Amino acid sequence: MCDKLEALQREHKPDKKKNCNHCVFLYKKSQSITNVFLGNLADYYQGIEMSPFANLYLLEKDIENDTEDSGLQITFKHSLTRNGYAAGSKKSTLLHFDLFTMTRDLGFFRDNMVVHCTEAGVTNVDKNTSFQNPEDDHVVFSKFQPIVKVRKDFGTYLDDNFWSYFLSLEERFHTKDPMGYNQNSPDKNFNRVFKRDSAGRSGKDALFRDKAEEDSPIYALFLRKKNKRKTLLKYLELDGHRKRFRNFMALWIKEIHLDFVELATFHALVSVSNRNL
Amino acid sequence: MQKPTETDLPLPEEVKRLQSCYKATLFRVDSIEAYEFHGQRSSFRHIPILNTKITVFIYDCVYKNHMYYDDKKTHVLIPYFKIHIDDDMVLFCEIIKSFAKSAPSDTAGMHHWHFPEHNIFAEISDNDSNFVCFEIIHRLIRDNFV
Repeated sequence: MCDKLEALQREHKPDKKKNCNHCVFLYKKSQSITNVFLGNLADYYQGIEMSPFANLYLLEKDIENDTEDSGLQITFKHSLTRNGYAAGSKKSTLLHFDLFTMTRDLGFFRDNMVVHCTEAGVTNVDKNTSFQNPEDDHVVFSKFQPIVKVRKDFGTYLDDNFWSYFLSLEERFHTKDPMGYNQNSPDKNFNRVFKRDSAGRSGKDALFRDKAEEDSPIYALFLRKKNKRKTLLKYLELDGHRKRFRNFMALWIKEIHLDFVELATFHALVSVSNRNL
Repeated sequence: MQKPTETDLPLPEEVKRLQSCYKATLFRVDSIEAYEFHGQRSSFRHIPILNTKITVFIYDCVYKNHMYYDDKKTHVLIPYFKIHIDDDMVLFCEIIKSFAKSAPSDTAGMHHWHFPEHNIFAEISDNDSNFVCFEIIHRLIRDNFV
């Protein structure tokens, strides 16, 4: 096994990474790739009907059928019995994402995961499903905003191209530049080869910070890299790429905004001891 | 936007390759709803817990261990997922309690814990069960920040 891996390493072609068996085996070849989309992906993926995800809408009469109610919505409903509230009144805390996706890539040497989401807020909350009492209509969770924007057509990178997409996100992590401001990254040459989309665009311009799409941005919220079979990885290691074999997790959040009408509300949420005992 | 059909859409190369190299299995559940009912039969009060639907496509590569193609792909679409956690939900809290009881715990005389070393569910007493989520938050704040 080790001999075969070393042979692969010797055959590494630095300038032809897409045709290099060493690079394909190390970075691209996936044993299992799993995508979970919570929300209407069609809203955020122009041309989805021509994509590998089109089959997900195969039995739908209308792809945009569930647009208004789509997304991930978590509602916490609490009884309030403290001073200032009528006994039995309710307070609701809402968290709503228009789109929340999880992608896991399992390879011979990796177990990687990326979570994408939109900003969370109180927009598009379906109030009919939540409350019967007008007093219930108190929302305290008003904003949740991650920091790392990705292109709105990020969906095109979640299938066969996910491995290269992950490498570009990983580079952001290593360069301590999650916003993608630093254009002089140390791995510029590596990225030039790997980060190229179907239109031939490459580098950060192809993946991130597309200003035309800033009105409803998609964010990379969570990134996890886990290396497998580390003892064998050393036989495939290239000079200067040792850092790529580090495990890490990154959670990028810019803002969590909670609105409390009054301090008693906050108390009611966190002080539950001795209530209803 | 209408669903794609075989007649009006030329298949892109990517989809052609996908269909030629993978066999696909589709699971679809059009509606999953969970409710908890309280009260007597004549005047039930229902509390919605979960409302969702799910479509799952599993692709298995025909050429197993192919050098370039992924061995297996799973694409899951959940157009909406609404979960409702109400502190009146007895059944929901009982389920959480059952998990807590089945999990190993070491709680005797222990008043301080720090996430995530200990099983937090195991420490929720019976009387607090209706407030399990908020008890967790409360304890996290009390033990780690105050």
